[in-house]
Amino acid sequence: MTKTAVKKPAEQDALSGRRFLNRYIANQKPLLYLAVLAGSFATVLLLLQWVSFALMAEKIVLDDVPIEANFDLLVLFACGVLGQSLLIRLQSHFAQKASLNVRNSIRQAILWQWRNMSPVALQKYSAGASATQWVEEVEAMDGYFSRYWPQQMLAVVSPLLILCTVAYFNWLCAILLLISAPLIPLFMVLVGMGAEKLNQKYSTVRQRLAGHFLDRVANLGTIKLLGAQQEVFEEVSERSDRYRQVIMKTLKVAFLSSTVLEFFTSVAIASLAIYIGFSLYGAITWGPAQSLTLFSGLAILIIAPEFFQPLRNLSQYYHDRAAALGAASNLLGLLTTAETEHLDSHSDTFSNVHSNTNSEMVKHSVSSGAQAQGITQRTTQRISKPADCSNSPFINKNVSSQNEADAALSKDPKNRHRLQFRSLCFGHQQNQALTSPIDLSLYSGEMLVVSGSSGCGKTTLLNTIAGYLPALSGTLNFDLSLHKAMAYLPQKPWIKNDTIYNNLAVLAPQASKGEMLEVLQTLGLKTELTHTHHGLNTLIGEHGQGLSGGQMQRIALARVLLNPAPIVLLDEPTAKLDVHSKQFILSALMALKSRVILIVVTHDPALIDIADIHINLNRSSDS
Amino acid sequence: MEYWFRLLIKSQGKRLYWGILWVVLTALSGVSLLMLSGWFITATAIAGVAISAGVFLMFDMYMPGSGIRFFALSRTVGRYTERVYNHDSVLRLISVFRVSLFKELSQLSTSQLRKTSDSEWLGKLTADLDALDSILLRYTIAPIAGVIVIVLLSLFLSFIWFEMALVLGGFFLALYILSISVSLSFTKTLAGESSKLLSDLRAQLIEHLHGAFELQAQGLMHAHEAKIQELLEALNTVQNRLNKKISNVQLALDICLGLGLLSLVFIALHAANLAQIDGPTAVLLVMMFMGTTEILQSIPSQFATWGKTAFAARRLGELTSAEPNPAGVSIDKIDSLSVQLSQQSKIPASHSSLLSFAVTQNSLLVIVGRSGSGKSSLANVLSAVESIDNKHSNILINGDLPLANIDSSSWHKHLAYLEQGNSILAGSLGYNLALGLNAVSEDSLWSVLIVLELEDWAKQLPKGLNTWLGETGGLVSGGQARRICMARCLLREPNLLIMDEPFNGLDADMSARIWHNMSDWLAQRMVVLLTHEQPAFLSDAQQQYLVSLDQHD
Repeated sequence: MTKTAVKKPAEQDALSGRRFLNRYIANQKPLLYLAVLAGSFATVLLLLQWVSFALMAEKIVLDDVPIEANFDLLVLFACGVLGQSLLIRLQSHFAQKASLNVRNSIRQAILWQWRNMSPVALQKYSAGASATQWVEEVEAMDGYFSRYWPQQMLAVVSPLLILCTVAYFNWLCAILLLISAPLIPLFMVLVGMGAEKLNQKYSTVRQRLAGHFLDRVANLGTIKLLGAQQEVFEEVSERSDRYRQVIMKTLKVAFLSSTVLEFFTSVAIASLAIYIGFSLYGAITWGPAQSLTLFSGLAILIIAPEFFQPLRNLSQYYHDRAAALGAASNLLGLLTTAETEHLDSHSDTFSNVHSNTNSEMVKHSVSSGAQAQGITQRTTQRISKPADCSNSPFINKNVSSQNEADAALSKDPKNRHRLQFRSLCFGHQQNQALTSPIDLSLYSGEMLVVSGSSGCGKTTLLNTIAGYLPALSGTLNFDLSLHKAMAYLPQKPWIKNDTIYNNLAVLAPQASKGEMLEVLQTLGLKTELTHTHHGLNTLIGEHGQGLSGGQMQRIALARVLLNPAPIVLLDEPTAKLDVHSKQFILSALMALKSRVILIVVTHDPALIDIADIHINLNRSSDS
Repeated sequence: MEYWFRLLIKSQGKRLYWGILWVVLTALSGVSLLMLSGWFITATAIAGVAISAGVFLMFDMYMPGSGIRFFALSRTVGRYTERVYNHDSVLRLISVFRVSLFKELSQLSTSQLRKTSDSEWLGKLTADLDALDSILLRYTIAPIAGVIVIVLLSLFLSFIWFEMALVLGGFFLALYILSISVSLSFTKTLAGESSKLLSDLRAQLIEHLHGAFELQAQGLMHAHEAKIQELLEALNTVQNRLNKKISNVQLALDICLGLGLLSLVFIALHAANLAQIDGPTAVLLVMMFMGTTEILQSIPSQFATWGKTAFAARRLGELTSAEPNPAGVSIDKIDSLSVQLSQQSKIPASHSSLLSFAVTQNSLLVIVGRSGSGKSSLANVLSAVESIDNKHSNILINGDLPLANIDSSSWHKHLAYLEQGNSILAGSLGYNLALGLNAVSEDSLWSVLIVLELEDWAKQLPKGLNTWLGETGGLVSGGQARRICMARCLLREPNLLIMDEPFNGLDADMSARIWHNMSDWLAQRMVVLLTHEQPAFLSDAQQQYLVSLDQHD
């Protein structure tokens, strides 16, 4: 499947998942230790409570001492009971605080990754599945931090405290508990390993299920049109059932670990009760049996289950751990994939050349080596070696518009930037470059149009220029920092579920309402929007409620016009437009291109006509 | 909530009773184990003292001993069975919920479906359904089983000490009900708020990620995060408050139980002092209290999620409450289509004058209109995806049958509609092509791919027709997606084909070639072609029927 990252083997995943969790837990250790401390003290008070009860019981039942005479024990008992409640409250306070902090920092880390990741890499994950990771899976880690982690320490401390107390009363009983204790972790590890492996599966299935639902619901309209409801309905039902089966497999194994504990607890209580009973009766005379009294016997019996209780809690929280590890290794997948497709990789392609643009201007060239057979140009006075290009059908240079641009820009040479392609090869796979290398210089005020048949890699080139894909070889040089230097309008423009105003403002934060209306006017949208809709307050959404595809396209373009970066990349800006509205776009682009380096991917002959430079990718790959 | 509880009882009735039975048995075994052991030790201690004092005493050691062993075993077995059984029920229930919800959704008309955006839909379907899984265990089985256990224990106790049974039973039941209602009233609102924030965050995140291409280029990714950060902040605050409330309710409950235990210890021991009950019974009482405490203690954390579940249930309820479309007449085939539209708000050409045209067998109608002229709305109206606005308009099928009266699934059986947007489902290429077709041969898939010039592309795909097309059609370019959608329409062999901008994203040469490849096939059908400009490749005959949506003012 292409939509989820490639999975590593399960064990490796769990291991790195644990490392991931540990890294984030490090900052919250003090809070978590406080929680453990509170929990340990609660155990001490628990011991106090039951020991004083056992003593009272012995005095009253056997020695007939009136309860009034045991007032001090009753007070101890009360302190134990109430103190425990308070300490447990403290424990949960610290643990929950730590969990909240950890989850917050994990979420921030993911946001940071997204911020620094190439959108092309980001697109490999469905937005729904990514959001699920950020929202639900991080939420699912709560149990691990607030319950499991403190409990795994308490599962050592509390039984030890109890064991010491029991040993004080009767060493044989302590040994009995001690023997059963090491067996428990052994069983738990065995069971836990199976559960973990299964849980890896669970986590992926869950994510896939979320993606499947988003996809089918988003396409429910199409499904209905195709009359495929029944088919998809069965698919959904089948998926739900598979989900249940996979999870049941995990659960059956996971529950075994708690059953092992349950079994030990029950057997320990039963055998202790019988041993103590027989000793008190006088049926057992060997060992320390004779020193047993009702006091010590009752105390042992009551606190023995508490020996196992922390472990039982731990196993109850075991699925918290499994869920957290699963989520963590999924996140790790996201974070490590991101590293390889980080925007930084861009710097390999791009080098910022701070050159003297004025002197370079004269040499302005569409240079072409022997490898760039595909480059032609019509005629030009300023190109240094026109002969180079005569046999290249691949790049076309149109001169008349260039002169206008030059005229406009020579007044203000400071704003003149140069984007240089040096033997640039692009594509998705290293040995499959989509064209022969491109050598070309673009200056502010020029427009490059890239055309070619569908699927030939026009968008890939655009993504390479935007720095979203690393170039296979060659470099792009730009004389400014790339940060914030570009505006990109993809083929399917991004429309927020919001008003037109907010849709414009999101990419053009400093534009005023007046400017917005002006740009909408330029694009021939103002009248349409103010007459039949609510102007800038018109609500639009993911499916573009209320507006046609062409209108949406123009709104997306309006954003670019409102906030022109030095380089503007447009993917099929006129695809959904009719001749009438195309005129608006053409004149808007003409106005825009005098200010920026404009790179447009299109089929539209009208756009090719106004281009200064034209690359036809088909002819390049044919040649 | 009610709807889901009803669905629960309807679908899981029998499993519900068995589930409760297992929980009760497990809980009773646990409490009995403690009670019996406490009683046994005390009794043997008394007997032991008596014997060492020289008193001859008959004491059956073996009955209580085997009782203890029995309860130890039944508790273990019961717990495992109960957990596996009930979790299976939960998952079955979720599956029932999921499927019934999907059924309801597919009842909605396409325009209703579009009211909600995708990100919210996903939230509703998965997160909300997940939240519903508490309904069975936490809110149904656990509380019912708890009450049964308390009642049974009180009954048992009433044979020993009637007044005590009344007091203890009353105390536990009262505390039980009180703690449930306090937990609910303290946490309901906050838990709902937290769910709302999580779902808002999810919608914001999806939007954020969809905008990455545009935001990243301008370095605005960080700025756009502001809303997410704000919501996250609010979420942290709400969750913090919620945690505090749950812990405080837990503290109050623990203190109540502690005080209860204290009083019981005092009363039981005092009664033993007065010889109202014997010593072993006093210990038994205390042990019983301990065992029951365990059942009550989990209430605050169990009911703390009620708000979250209620939030989910309410949102899901909104989805399912939509009225289904009334069933209509079904038709066998489409012979003719006659359209008269006036005053359709989304089609400006119908505002002032009557827009009227007809399509007959084996003919092509070209509708030309520029962006914003209502082409897509018209196509939606013709394909019954949207209904017409008013009474002045009419779409008649086969002469006299209004489109509105035709059953929409029967209508869609004979119609293929190429929408303006492409929709590629996450699935294989073959799956995407054959969707909704019962039997389709691989040969016919390939022949359609040849018509659309996709054959070479499909052949070089790693797994041919079985190649997975990404969720958003990531592997597919815009032009390829367009042609795949077109292929889907061709495969359906419709009577009527409506194409909204079929050549979007295709260059003129390829469009002309594909049109040429299709023309024989098209000639045998009723075709409505909606486009922003009249394509150059139409033959004169094909341009015979032409309607313009543009108003020339």
